[in-house]
Amino acid sequence: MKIKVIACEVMQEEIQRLEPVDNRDYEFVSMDFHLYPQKLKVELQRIIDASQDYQQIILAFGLCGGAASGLTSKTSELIIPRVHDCISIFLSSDKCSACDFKKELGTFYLSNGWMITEKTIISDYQRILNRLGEKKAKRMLERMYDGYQKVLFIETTAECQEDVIEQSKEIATLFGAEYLTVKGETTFIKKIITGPWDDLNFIKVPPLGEITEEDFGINKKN
Amino acid sequence: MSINKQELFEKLADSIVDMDEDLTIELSNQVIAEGVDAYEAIVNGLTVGMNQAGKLFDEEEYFVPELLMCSDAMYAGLNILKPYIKVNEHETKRKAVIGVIEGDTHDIGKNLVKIMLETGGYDIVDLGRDISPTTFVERAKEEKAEFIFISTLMTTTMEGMNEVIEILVEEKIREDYKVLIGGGPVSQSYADKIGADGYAENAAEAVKLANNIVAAYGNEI
Repeated sequence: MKIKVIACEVMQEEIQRLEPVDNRDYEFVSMDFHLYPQKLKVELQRIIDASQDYQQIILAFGLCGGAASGLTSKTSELIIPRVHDCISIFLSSDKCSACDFKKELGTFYLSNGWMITEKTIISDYQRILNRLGEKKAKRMLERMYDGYQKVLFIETTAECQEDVIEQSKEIATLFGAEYLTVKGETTFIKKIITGPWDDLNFIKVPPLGEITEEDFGINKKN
Repeated sequence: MSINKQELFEKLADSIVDMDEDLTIELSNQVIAEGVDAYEAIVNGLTVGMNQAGKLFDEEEYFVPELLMCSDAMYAGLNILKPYIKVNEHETKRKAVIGVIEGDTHDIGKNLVKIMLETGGYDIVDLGRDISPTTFVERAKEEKAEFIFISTLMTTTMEGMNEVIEILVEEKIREDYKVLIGGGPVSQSYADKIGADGYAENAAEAVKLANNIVAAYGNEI
């Protein structure tokens, strides 16, 4: 049985470094969609629709700002981790609940994959600096990022280029935040690709069903 | 010498779009010095500039950093012009509290909505970020607000919006407030589901939404 894996670019390197799994076809989705959940939803639905010759489609995503809510597949079963976002995937070995985000309020997460988009913080700063000077550029950072006290770089299996590490440290410096690193986990990423997809950690939607916010625990009581 | 009012307003608007705070301050002072109506300068100068900046943002010509710098210039002008607005000449402002729900510190979107609402003539009390549902309700009561604007960027914190409404219902004061919600993961269907009075996709839409509610309900809010 062939399985299609639709995955976010944020974990592309980590997935490609896993031991090869038979009968998997991969398609990676640009991280540019991160800031636009509604556009991401349209893109994911487009790829799902074009992948109907697979019996199962794995979405290596979380709810991702609501992007996953409403996705449906006519003939394939959809499988998606029961997580809000990839931080849980990178940090937890088997339980999505391992991340207590309430405790981590004020933490800005980065990883090798995250730097693909977040390095724009540095170019944003440079742009304003060049046009309006240092005082304004600092004010911009303050307006946008003063909620963060900590930049936490998740070290995954992806091999980081030296300049990526440097840029992530530069972001912490710009924020005036503490820079910390933490070893990431690969167990969850591996499980997404290989299964078994247990109910605690995964949502499985039969053909014609729909992924909902409630599947991720939002407003379940209603 | 009579100055060309329209030209002055256009310059004011351009200074906002160009993020030139110093020029906005200079022109605003000129408005006062020349005896031009401050309210007109806000509506036809500052607001026009901020709306143009918003349009550039929609067209992806400007990004959030630029928009924030434009708003800095706008506020600088507003601070100068505001004290000169003739009292009682214009309608009483509609009051609102705004904030980011508990567990979330992402407040850029909330700040943009606040800016556009203030530009649109609303009296906004900014509660800040990471605000508990109880605080939303308590502060709305204290401020005698008509609107409660709630924002979140994260799916992990969305349910707090629902809690605000639940508290209002429990306290039997649901009808006293219009609750409007927004933010990345929020949608019209979510607003419908939790019984909010409206959802807006962006800051400009939030103003339109509030205006529509004012038009529909008038003093009955």
